[in-house]
Parts: sequence; C-alpha cells; structure tokens
Amino acid sequence: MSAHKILPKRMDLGVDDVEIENKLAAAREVAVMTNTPTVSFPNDKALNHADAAPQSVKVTPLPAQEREKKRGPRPSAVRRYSVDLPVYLIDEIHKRSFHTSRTKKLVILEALNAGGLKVKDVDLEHEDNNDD
Amino acid sequence: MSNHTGAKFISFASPKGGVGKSTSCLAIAGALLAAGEKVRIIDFDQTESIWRWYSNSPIAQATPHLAVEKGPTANLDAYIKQLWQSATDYVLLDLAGSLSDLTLMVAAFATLTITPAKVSEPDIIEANKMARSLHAVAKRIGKPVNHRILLNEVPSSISNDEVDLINQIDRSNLRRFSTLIHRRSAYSKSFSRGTLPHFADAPDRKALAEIDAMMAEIRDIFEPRLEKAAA
Repeated sequence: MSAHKILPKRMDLGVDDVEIENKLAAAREVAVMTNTPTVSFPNDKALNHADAAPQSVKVTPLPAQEREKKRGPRPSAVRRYSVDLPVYLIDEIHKRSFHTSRTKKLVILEALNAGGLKVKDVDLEHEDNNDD
Repeated sequence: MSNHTGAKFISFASPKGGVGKSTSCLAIAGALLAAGEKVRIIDFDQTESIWRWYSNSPIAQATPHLAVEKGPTANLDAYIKQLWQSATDYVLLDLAGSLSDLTLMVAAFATLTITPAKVSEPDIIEANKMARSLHAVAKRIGKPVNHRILLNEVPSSISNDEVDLINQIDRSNLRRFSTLIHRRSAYSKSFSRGTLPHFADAPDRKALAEIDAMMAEIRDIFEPRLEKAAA
C-alpha cells in the first residue's frame, strides 16, 4: 500500500492555505511582469448552446499594441521630387543626418521649414525611417 | 506540496497548441487507472478536447474510477483552494495551448507540470518559455516548482538534427523525462476509438511500455514527498 493511502483525511478547516495563496499570487505577478495575457473563459451558460456566438477572449494589451492605439494623424502624402544640388550640400545633408540620427528627408524638411516654407507638424513628427 | 488529502495534481501545460497535452494526459490517465488508481481529469482547455472525448465515448463514461469535468469559467483562486482541500488521488489538469495567467496559476499550483513537446525547435522554445515562467514563480515563492518536458511524437527513425536537439536540451538546465514517447497510432486511437491505450482491445505493448516507464519517472518525482508525508 502506498504511503498516501494510509494518511488520514482531515476535516476541511476552511483556512486558506498560505502556500497556495503565495503560489497563485506569484504566478499572477509573473504573468503581469512578462506581459502574459489574461484569459477569461466563456461561462457555462454560453457553452451549453452549440450555436451561441463565439465569446471574445479578453486579452490585456501588450505595450506594442498600446503604442499602436496612441498613433495620431497620418503624415501627408508624398511624391518623389528630384533636384540637382551642389555636391558639398549633399555631403552636408548626409553628415547632418548621421550626426543627428535623423533621416535625410527630415533634415531637408526642417531646413525648408526654417527657411520659411510651411511644413506641417505631422510631417516633422511622423518622419519614418525610409530614408531615400 | 502536500495537501490535506494527499492528492497529486499533474498539469499538462504548454504555450503552444498541438504538442500532445490532451493525448499524453489520457495516456497517463489510462496508466493510473490500470494501476488501480482513481483519476479525475479537469479540462481547462477551451477546445474541450478531453471533455468532448468523455462526453462522446460510452466506453470512457463506463470506465471505473475515472471522472472528467470541465474547469471553472471564473473565480479560479477559490476553485483551486477548494480543489486543494478536497481532491483525492490523482487529479490531471489539462490546460489550453497558450500562455496565460490561468495557465501559470494552475501550473504553479500543480505538484508536477508536464510540457509535452515534439523534437522540433518551435516546440522546445515554447517549452523553455514555460520553464522560465515557472522558474520565475519558484524564485518568488522560494520553493521549486516541479516541471518536466515530455518529448512526444518522436519518430521511429530519428534524424541527426533531432538527436542534436535532444543533446542540446540535456546540456541545458531544462529538465525532461528520459522516456521518449514515440509516434504511435495507439495514442491517436484514444480519441478516434474512445479508449485509453491501456484499455484498448488490442493494446500496443510498446506504447504501454513507454507510458509505464514515464509513470515510473513520475512516481519517482512524487515518492520523496510521500515518504516525507508519511514520516
């Protein structure tokens, strides 16, 4: 006979076990820290109906999704427009772009803006990394 | 972890689906029943594979000492505490193939968590993710959490790449069952025929041998706990 079979069953004292609580709390803490989604299951009533509409699964948003939500207006439409510039100016744009960690397009847009040509804020803020 | 009633909780958890959690759960349930144990399976998986298997299989329903139920839909804390205080014998917890707070809580609560994985990089990476999460829980509570990887659906002719992967697991701090569960029709028949491998009309002896070998490893994990409880 294995040992567990000779252990007497005890009465349920109704006392919450600290170890279990600690484990559940630690698991929940790790889930939050690692961005593990929170899942809520459909209730029994819904499960009893085969044709019930699928229940949505509640998932806590990941930081990346939060950033996605907060995105503001889209930048203006663009069109390729080429002009011949002095080589030293092209070099200067390259250097400025490198030292300020900004795209060449943004460097040019800022220069135009400073020179009195109106550039919308959204185009200055939403500069992507497609440097062409 | 010993509870008031000496029940042993084995959870089957993996962040990835399709790794064989429900199949290995049924295989172990069959081995336990064949050994004369009482088994209660709680299906936490939203796909309800085991619950559906049980509901549709008269053979399963007629199997003595086997009870299958669905996991709770809410109030998990209270359910787990109640389970811990009242459950007896073996309780197998089949979890969904995803990493959620529920998966972590049930896996952390279980006496042993088994993560089945095929001998493939995606499965092992996900099994490692499960191990890391449980390790983080163990660090917080200051006690080890029993976790083992079960290499599942191992092909009969194993390639060099697969051998390398197994060696890589063994060199890491991941813990696995030394028993390999091979790809055999006996396991899939659990679902198609509604019978457990140990109770099949024509049992696959090789399948039974590897399930029993794994059960021996599981008992080795539980044994020190029983000695301590009995002392």
